[in-house]
Amino acid sequence: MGLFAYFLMRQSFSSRQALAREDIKSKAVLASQAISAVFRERYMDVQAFAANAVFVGQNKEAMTQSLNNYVENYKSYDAILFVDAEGKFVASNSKTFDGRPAEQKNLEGRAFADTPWFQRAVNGQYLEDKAKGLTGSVVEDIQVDPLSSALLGSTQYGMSFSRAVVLPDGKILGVVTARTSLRFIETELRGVYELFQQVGLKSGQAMLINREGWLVAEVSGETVTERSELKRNPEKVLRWNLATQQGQMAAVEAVAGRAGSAVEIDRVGRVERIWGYNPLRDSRFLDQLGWSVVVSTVSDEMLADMNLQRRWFFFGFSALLIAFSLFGLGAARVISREFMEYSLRIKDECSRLSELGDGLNRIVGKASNTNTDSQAVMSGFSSAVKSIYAQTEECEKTLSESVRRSRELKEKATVSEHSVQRVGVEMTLARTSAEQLSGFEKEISELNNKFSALSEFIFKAQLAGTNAQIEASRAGSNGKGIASLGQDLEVISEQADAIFREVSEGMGKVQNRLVTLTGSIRRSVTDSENLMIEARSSLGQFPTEFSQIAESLEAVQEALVAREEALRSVFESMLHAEGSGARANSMYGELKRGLHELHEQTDRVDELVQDMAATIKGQRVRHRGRKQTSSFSDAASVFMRGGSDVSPDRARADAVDRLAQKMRPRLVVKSEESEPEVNDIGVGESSSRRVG
Amino acid sequence: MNHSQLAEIKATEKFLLFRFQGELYGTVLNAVREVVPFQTPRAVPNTKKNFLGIVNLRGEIVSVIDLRLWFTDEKQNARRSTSRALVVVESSAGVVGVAVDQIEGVCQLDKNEIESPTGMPGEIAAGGMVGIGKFRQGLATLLDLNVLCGALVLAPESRERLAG
Repeated sequence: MGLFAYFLMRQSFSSRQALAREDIKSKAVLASQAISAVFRERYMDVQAFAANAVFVGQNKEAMTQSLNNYVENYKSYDAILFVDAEGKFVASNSKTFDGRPAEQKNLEGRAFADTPWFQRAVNGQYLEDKAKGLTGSVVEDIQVDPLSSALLGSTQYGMSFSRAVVLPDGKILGVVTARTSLRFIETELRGVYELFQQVGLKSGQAMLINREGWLVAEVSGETVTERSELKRNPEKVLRWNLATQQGQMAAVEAVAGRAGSAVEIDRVGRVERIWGYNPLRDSRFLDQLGWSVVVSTVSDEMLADMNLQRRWFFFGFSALLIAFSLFGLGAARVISREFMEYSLRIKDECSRLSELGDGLNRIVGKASNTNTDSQAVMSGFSSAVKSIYAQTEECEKTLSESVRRSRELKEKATVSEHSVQRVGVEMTLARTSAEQLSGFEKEISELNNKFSALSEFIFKAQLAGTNAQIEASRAGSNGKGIASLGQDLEVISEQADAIFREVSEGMGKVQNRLVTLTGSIRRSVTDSENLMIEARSSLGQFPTEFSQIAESLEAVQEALVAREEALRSVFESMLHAEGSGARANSMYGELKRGLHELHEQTDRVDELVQDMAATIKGQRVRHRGRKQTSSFSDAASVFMRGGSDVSPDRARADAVDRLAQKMRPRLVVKSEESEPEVNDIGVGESSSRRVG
Repeated sequence: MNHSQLAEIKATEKFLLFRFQGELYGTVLNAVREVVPFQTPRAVPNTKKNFLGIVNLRGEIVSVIDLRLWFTDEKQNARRSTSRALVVVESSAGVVGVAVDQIEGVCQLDKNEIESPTGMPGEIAAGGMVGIGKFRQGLATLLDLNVLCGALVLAPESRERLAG
């Protein structure tokens, strides 16, 4: 209801604001039309002035009088000048529109041949729109007019309309230029401003901006004095750009050639205003100038009545909300009190539940201790088995070592046997060689004796032969026979000596053979000695090897004893494990009883929670059935059965989860007329219906 | 030895050739009484180094000299003899046995096959050298053992004892 009322209120406000925007926009359009109308008049005025015959007469006073009349009658011009065809000043008004004297002497003697308005007027370069009937006048947009400023002695803003004075023969006599003030624009803007004032909108303002967004004229509470006089702000005129400097979107849209309205914060006054803007595009205005009218007023001021209604609406709506809140608070207090009572009762029941949990923890602790004992027994059993394995491996290693050493011993014995056999053969050869050597030695000894005698014999025979020849030589011719005998002896001795040499060579060969034989015998003896040393070494290792084998066998014996002890330890561990199993069975019975008590306590808590929910709901409650409501009981029963597909830890976790779900009671509402219906109380419901 | 000694040699003369320290020597056969196997001489005190001693040759005392010192002047080896024979010479100094290494035998040589020792140092020629003979065994130094043995300088007491 409140939202609907708020919606209607908002719709009404939007409609009212739209109407206000249309009103402001229409005022902008109205001002645009008025300014266009006066612009057309000014555009045509100068043409009328140029047609005045007084300029043909070359009478300066007459010209001045005519120009004074124009200024006084139209009220829109600050200065009207006539210059000749060469651009030299001829005449101007000598009074202002309100009858004050003008400084005509400031213009006398000046030449305007180089000014744009003069050249365009002489050359016929008019700012015109023939389709709209606007043609024949040179127009300069609003600026600081130097001619008006010179004539009036102060800075004057305005625009100029100029027209050449042409004689009937087509000769240009001169140029008439009419310098308007901003008054003809400000007068029209003031008309809009007064419309705002008439309806009490003191913040209303009307502005004219040129095609670049610069402020040209403004009529607002700041520019209208208490005596209803209009004053210009020289800091704003042509120095204040609404579109580019202020960024006012209404001005931006108007410069872009679009008309419309908007609600926008005033970038200067920092207040929300309703804006209406309209570019001057009608048939009485030149589009080239690009002027736009921007009208605005403060939004709160214009929509004051609607704001008053809205404030009343929100006040009533807030009062209603407070009333409902107080009512809800009271109801919540009552429900909270009852909820607190039930919470205390639930706390007591949960304390009992915690005690049961502690009991279960103690039982589980005992079971854990029993399990630890079982693990210790199994650890002892495992270590005993490892010890048996280790002893067995040690025994196998020892036996392998004994076998290896026995094989090595057998190989060494075989080598020793071969060595001994070779020693026997070598010794036999050496014995034979020694016997042969002894025979040779005897023979050589005998031969040496004989050789010595033979050598002596041969030497003596040789000497005898020599002596015979000596004696024969002494005997002279008588000694020839002795000499021949001596020669024979000498020959015999020489032959004996040759034989002796041959025998000596034979003896040398025999001696060489004897040396060879002696060498072989020596080698055989050396080999025999080496073999004997090797055999002695091999045989010397036999006692060591036998002692190592004996040590290995002793180690095997010790390993067998250790294995027997390990088996005894395994037997004791198995007896201990059997006792641990009995204790575990006892713990399981206690745990089963504890879970049964926990089951009953959970049922009591369940009933209490349902009772509490019914009390909060204010209706009678009945169970839908124990099987559907006691999920924890189901989990506990599965755990107590030692469920085939659910572990005890998982069953306990499921039971706790379902207990948590039980705290969101599923209530069965029994009405007087209808069947029981299920009403789930969810978290997203209002707080008054929450029970946990 | 001089040219007169060579002139006393017959046209054909027999020489006893022997070796001493590998060199071949010869002497006129008539100057040699006999050759006997070498006997170890008995040393005689206060004698020269080349005087090896004395031997008993069938009851006759024979002085034994060593030519080594005379030829090579090797004093340190003078007493060490490897001789196998003694050439017994009857010289002015008595019967002397010259120890030689080996008896080569008796050879006959023409006179024209004997070269005079002309041009050799005078001491050598005066020391008992007759000439150089050309034998089939090779060149042999021909010695006059009588002169050589007589030139031996003996100690006065030894000379007297030998003379006595």
